[in-house]
Amino acid sequence: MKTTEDELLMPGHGMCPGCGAAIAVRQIMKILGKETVILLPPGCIAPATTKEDAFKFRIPAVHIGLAHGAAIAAGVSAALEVKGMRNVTVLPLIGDGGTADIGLQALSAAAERNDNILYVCIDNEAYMNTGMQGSASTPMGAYTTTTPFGAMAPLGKDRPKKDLFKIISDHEALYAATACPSYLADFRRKFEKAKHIHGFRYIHVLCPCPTGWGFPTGKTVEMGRLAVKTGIFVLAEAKLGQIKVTNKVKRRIPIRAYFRLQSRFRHLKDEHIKTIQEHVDRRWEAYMRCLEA
Amino acid sequence: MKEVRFHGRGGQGAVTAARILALALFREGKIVQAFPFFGMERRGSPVQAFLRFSMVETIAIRTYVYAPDYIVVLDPTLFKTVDILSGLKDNGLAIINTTEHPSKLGLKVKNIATVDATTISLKALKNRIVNIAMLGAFASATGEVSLKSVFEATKESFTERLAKPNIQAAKMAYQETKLHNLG
Amino acid sequence: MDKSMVLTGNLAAAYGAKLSRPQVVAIYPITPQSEISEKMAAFAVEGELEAKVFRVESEHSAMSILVGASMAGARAFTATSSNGLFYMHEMLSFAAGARLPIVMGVGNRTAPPPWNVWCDHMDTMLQRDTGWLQLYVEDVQEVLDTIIQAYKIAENDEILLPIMVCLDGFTLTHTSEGIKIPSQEDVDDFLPAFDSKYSLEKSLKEDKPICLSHLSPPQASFMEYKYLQAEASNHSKKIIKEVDKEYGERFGRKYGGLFKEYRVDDAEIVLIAMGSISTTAKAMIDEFRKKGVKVGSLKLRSYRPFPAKELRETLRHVDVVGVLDRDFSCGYTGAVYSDTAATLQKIEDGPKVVNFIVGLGGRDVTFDHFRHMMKRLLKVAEIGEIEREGEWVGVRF
Repeated sequence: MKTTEDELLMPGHGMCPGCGAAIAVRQIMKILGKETVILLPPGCIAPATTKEDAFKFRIPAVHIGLAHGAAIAAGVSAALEVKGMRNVTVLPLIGDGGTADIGLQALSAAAERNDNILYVCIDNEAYMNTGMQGSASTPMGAYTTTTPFGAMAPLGKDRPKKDLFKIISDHEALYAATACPSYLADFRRKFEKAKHIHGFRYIHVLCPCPTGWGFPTGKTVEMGRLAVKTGIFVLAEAKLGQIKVTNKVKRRIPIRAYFRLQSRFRHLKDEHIKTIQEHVDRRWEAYMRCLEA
Repeated sequence: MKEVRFHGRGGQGAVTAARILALALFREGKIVQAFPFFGMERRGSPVQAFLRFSMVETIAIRTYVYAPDYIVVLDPTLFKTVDILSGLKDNGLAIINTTEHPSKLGLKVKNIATVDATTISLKALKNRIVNIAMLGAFASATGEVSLKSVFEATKESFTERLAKPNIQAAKMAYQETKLHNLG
Repeated sequence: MDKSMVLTGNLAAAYGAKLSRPQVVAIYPITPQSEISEKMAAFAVEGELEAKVFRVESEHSAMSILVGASMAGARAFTATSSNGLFYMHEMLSFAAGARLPIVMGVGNRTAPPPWNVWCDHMDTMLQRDTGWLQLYVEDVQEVLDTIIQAYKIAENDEILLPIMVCLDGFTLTHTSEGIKIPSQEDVDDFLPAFDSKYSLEKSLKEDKPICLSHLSPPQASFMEYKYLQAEASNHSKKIIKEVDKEYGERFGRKYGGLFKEYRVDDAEIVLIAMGSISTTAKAMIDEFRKKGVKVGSLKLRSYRPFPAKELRETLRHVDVVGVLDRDFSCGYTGAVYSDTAATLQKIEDGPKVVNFIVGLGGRDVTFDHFRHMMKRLLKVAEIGEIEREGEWVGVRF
């Protein structure tokens, strides 16, 4: 299959049909170009692209562990700099489990030190590769295999999603942003900006997952749009802690419109959706106040 | 001891089929061992699952199945990418979901059973998940397990909503499976 | 009343844990044991498990939470594999040194790189010296039964050591077999509630302040504490045998205690293996016996404590012993071999011991591999000399 020169993620990788992360990674590769080193922990992308007999990137890659994405990246970056290669983008592409849970220590430290890496969180809202176990980035109300719903837990996951973008912004990182491949212009602008900054950069990408979230494989882009239009996922960026919403939604649509299309929310009753809607409203208001400040 | 190998694609339920067949045989008093090919295959990639069953002796082996007595193929498009007959014993039987006549399949195998499980599953389940239908075909073609046991194992493993149409599919497949001897 | 079900090794571990009534459970996904975590969560949400289940952010926290819980006096359980086990390594020594009877299921998986999620024993071998007892099981029934047995062993007043129950990744974790599940009443009868003498609970209730893991400089009693820990682990050999025997009497299933022999009594050549390849070994023994060769196999169940004396007694009469290691200690050779050879070589005119490194990273250990090993051992028996101390079998060079 012929590909253009800017195509650095090769076709024939093993990600699921309709995978939001696959769309995101492909676009990221096109923007960052060949002067990039990609670090992939256990998750959805690595087994699909770094097989011994099927390496699918046209840039150097490392299959790393799960807890240390930011740390290993910082080490690679520092060494390259010592070797006079300042302009290489060191790109840890870490899932939400590896970011919100086990990798948070290393991530926080790298942000605090201003290590020169472009940390990208690929957020499909669970440990998808191992079979959809819950992470701190799983939204309230979602079913996962370790946040199942039942007599003792009608919501499934009953605690809110960690707002990693906000946490990293509070570190006064040079640059932090949220993005979604469903909003490609906004996505491209942010990665282009991040590429040319030297220091710690964080981009949190929402990647809808048809296999795990339970929607048809052709609806990935639509699902990302709904996440943003409901205000559940806010498109924003922050420089040194100053948060700015980059895609202000004038009139948000009710979360029900988003929930009813995914089987991971199918168990929710009206009163649960009401609780979650109130929570989403509160978070949205907080983001709007950032604008005013 | 007999060995079975299932061929399917990720998401088609080959692993579940092996497990439910194991349960059916277990409830008939046989010793069973069922396991998937240990990989991390995505939806759509070829997968294999294995089953060993024995009436009397314990199963004293834990390698992959290299010389199956039976092969069950859920997805006929696999012929192009996978050597589905690999290791099949000389007098082994291949049970295949297909609309074609076995002589047209281009397979070097003596004994073959065919059934159009896809059409059956579309009728009974309104989808193309043929795994339980193929268990009906297995019961019919091999006689190693009773259809009733397949029904019971399905009921035990699925919710009522899922079990009923799957049992229907298994029943239809049982009736429509045809055995051929290609000599 | 016993229930019978077809379950994977992972599910059997979850059922065994549930029946043991843990009070605090930590769950975290890692291939190949994620299913254990999922099942514990499912039990809890359905009200079938009265435990506080922590969905933790890392395995280090998983073991930290359990250490906290066990120190306070609760029965605790978790499961992990490979890199997860490595991430909690610091806390493994802590649990053992603190004499906490935690039980953990480990789905044996290798140590990457290269990246590999499949079975060998590297992960638990690397924890060999942490002070945890290690029991390696051979089939799905044994997974369930051994977890229950493990709590009884661990909580014995004279032991109080944590135990890892090791089940081969994929070959056991993902393999379904028909098993019997004992009733909760029967298990309660066999395994009473955990009543620790030295817990924070007791300290508070009896108003007797204690300091756990106190500072102990060289001139204080550090070495004495360690001596007691070592003594407890030696003594655990006796308890492991007793508990297995009692389990057999009560539930009708037992596993040989420290190890299980197969046709060893009159064998001239014996294979030693751990985990699921012990099953395939038995088929090979039968094949060679049919040819008139006097061979036997031994499934090593307890690796720590290492049954040195017991192995010497059992294998004294044997000419050649082949030790299969699904691990290797870089810079020397297989771990099980090192321990086995050291003890068997104490026997005057004892068996010659040969090492085989097999099945790393999930490489299938086949009949052909076994036949090759047998040929090697027969040669050693014939010429009375070991040509090669160790050999990697199944490697493509």
